[in-house]
This record gives sequence, structure tokens and C-alpha cells, in this order.
Amino acid sequence: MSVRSRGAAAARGPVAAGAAILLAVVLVLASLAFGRTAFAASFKPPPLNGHVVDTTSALSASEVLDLDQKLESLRLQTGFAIVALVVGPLDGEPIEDVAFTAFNQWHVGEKGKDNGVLLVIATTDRKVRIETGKGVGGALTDLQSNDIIRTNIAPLLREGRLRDAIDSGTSAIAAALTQGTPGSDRPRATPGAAPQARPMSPLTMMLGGGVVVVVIILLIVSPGFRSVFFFLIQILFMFGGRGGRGGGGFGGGGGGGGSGYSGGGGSSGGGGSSDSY
Amino acid sequence: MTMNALHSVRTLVLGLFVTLVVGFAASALPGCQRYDQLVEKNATCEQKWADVEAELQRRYDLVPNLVATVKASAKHEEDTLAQVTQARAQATQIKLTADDLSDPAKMAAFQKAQDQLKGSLSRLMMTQEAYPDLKANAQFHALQIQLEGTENRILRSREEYNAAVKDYNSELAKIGGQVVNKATGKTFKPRVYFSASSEAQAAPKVSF
Repeated sequence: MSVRSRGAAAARGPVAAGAAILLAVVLVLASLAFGRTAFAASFKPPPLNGHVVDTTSALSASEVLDLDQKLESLRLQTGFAIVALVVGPLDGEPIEDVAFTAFNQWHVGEKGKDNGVLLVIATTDRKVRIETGKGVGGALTDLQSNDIIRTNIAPLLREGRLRDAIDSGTSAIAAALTQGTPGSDRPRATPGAAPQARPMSPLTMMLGGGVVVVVIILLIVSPGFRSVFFFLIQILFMFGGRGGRGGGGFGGGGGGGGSGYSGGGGSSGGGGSSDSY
Repeated sequence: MTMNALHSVRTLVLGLFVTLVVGFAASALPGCQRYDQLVEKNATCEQKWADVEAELQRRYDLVPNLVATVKASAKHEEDTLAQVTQARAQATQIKLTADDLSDPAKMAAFQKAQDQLKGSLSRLMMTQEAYPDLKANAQFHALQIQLEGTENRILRSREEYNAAVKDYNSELAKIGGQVVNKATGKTFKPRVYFSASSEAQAAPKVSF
């Protein structure tokens, strides 16, 4: 009786119910978009759409593409994600903060392994930093990072050879990483990381299971509920058809044939080294 | 007639009982979830604190090498070197237990010792300006890079710990958190931030 009356009440206002569900969906999406951890730094990294990001346009499009391809194949072979960022004036902000913010916003490297490295070159302030992921601090120590900056990167930058500096620097970084990590020079069976789902707590699973059972019972018992339910399913499909992109994001071909690398799930704990040139 | 009345009373009691059980379960479930959340956030704080301690240990480990290297090249820096050694000894003496992390006085003492170590180390690094052969020393250069990296890592792990503490403390301060904390016998205590003092942030004055 109570089930029947609830179903009938819901059947009276399928539009209202649909609107309520839509509102809930919008609220959840909004909280996902704005609830991310905000870092205190003022530097806003541009979206990551490849292994090379140049905000100064000092590199030509073909140079960016070239370096991106090299780093993409390196990532697919060894798993290490190396990203190069070229920025203009730092406006008094430490290069350490710029590198840390960009690294953790882009999540360079794979989740859990944290095997990413970010090379930042600030052309106006003439500063370089290598920021290492939490997982590569042993293979690429702060001292080695500093050594690479001083011997491989800084001399070329002083000559104004930005492309060569990035090329030589990233090669040296890759060499240090593969030498310092046993077994990493072997080709990997599965290039790239599959996005990992968050494990559900038993309580959530129980609740979810309960909701499913209740919905199924209602579907069988109440014709009113049935009509509302299928109306909502239709609405969901309508929206699902439009915004289907999600997950790892290795596929997007941004930048005219570039790798479209948009980060994995890596994080940095402030390792690495900085120097001026 | 009486049988009928008895029957309806029994139904009523049974109905009330079922309502009570369902109501209790419905109110206990979010409570359990909240408790789980507090436990989880507290565990995150513990893990982040372990990271902070690991980075601080890195700094302790660098000090003896640094002191030995500077001693060899810079003959007139006994005072600065003694200060660094003393600050390190003081900082390593303070051992914080899990409970101490919610004790403002103990945290303040710990923080002060760390700030002193950091301050004396920066003064030691400034002395290189007066000793050209120290500046050119490869061993000193290596230690300097390592110290810089360590200071940066300490800063980041400290930021992460404070973010975790903020998350946990605000969860605990919410009405739901307070209710759960009282119901479970106040097992959760607000944690104290590990923030850098303005003194330690400022660059040390050089005087020759």
C-alpha cells in the first residue's frame, strides 16, 4: 500500500523528480571541479597537452613536436614521464614553487610509482630546475640533477640553444633514471598506466547494494516508479552522449599530431635541484 | 474482541520495534561513516608526519659531514660550527610521540629547535663567502646542493602535513565529528600545525 502510494506520488511529478536528480548531478560535478586541492602559489600552469610546454613560444612548432615525440617514445619504453616546461618572467616567484605547482597539477608520472620528472627553464630569469617525482629520488638524486643542469643544460642555454638544452638535458635525465632503476631498460609489456579506480569501502558497497535491491523491488512492484525510472534513464543517456571523455587521457591528439600526454597520477615531494645560468 | 485488541497491540509493538531498529540503523550508519572518515584522516596525518620526520632526519644526517668539510677549510668559524652542532643535538633530543602532536606546548618546543637548527645552518652556509677555497671545494658544493634539496623537501612535506591537519581538524570540528567524538569517548584530539616561524623564513644577517 505504502509502496503503491509512493509510486503514484512520484508518477505525478516525473519532471520535478527529473529536475531534482539533474540538480544533484550538477552539484556533484561542480564540487568535483572546484573541490580540488588548491596550491598557494600564484603561478597557473597551462593545460598539459604533450611532453613539452612552451609558454614563451621560443621553440618552433616543429621543435616542440620533435622533442615531444622523443619523450613520448621514451615514456612508452621505460615508463618514466619527462616533461619540459619553458616559462617567461617569474615575477619574483621562486622557480621551486613554479616547478612544484606545475608538477603536482599535471600529475607527471604514474600514480603510485611517482616516476615523473619535470624540467623547468625560466628564460627571462635565467633559472633552471629539475623537479623529481617522489619515486625517482633514489635514481636521480638532487646532486645528479644539479650536475645535469650544470654540465648538460646551462652551457647550451648560455649559447641560446634552448632546443638543444632541452634535448641534452632530458637525455641525461633519462640515462640517470634507467641506470639508477634496475630492470627499467627492458621494454614494458603495458605502456602507460591504466587509470586506477578508487577502492570502495565495505559500508559504501553495502549501501549501494541495498539501494540496487530496493530499486529492483520497486521496479517490479510499482508501475508508477517504472515510468519515472525509465524517464530518468533516458535523460541520463541524453547527457551521457555529450560528455563522454574521462579517465587517463592518453588519447587526445592535441597540438597537431603531438602525443597529447596529459599526465598520469604522479606527485612530487619537492625533490630535485635548481641553478641559474 | 479482546483477542482482536491484543492482536492489534502486538502489531503496534512490533511495528514500533521495527521502526526503532530501522531508525537506529539509519542514524548509526552515517555516524559510523563519519567515525571511519576521522580515522582515515587521522591516519593520513600520521603518514604525512612520518614524511616530515624522514626529511628532518635527512637534515640531521647532513650536518656532521657539513661541519667536517667546513672545519677543514674555514679555520675561524669555531663559533658557527659549535652552534650548528649544538642546535642539531637539541633538535634530535626532542622525541615526539603521537600524543605530543596535539600538544601545542610540545609542538612549539619542537618547532623552535628545528628553527634554530635551520637558522644556524643558514649562517654556516653564509660563511663560504669569506673562504674562496671552501667555495671551490667540490665536497662542500655537493653538501650544499643536498642541503638545499633537503630544505625544499622539508618545506613541501610540512605543507602537506599542515594540509592534512587542516582537513582532519575541520572534520573534527564539524557537528557530526563532535558528536561522534563525544560518543566514542573523545578519542580524537585536534592536531597542532607545524608551521614555520617568520624568524626562520627570513634570511640570516651576515656580519664579518
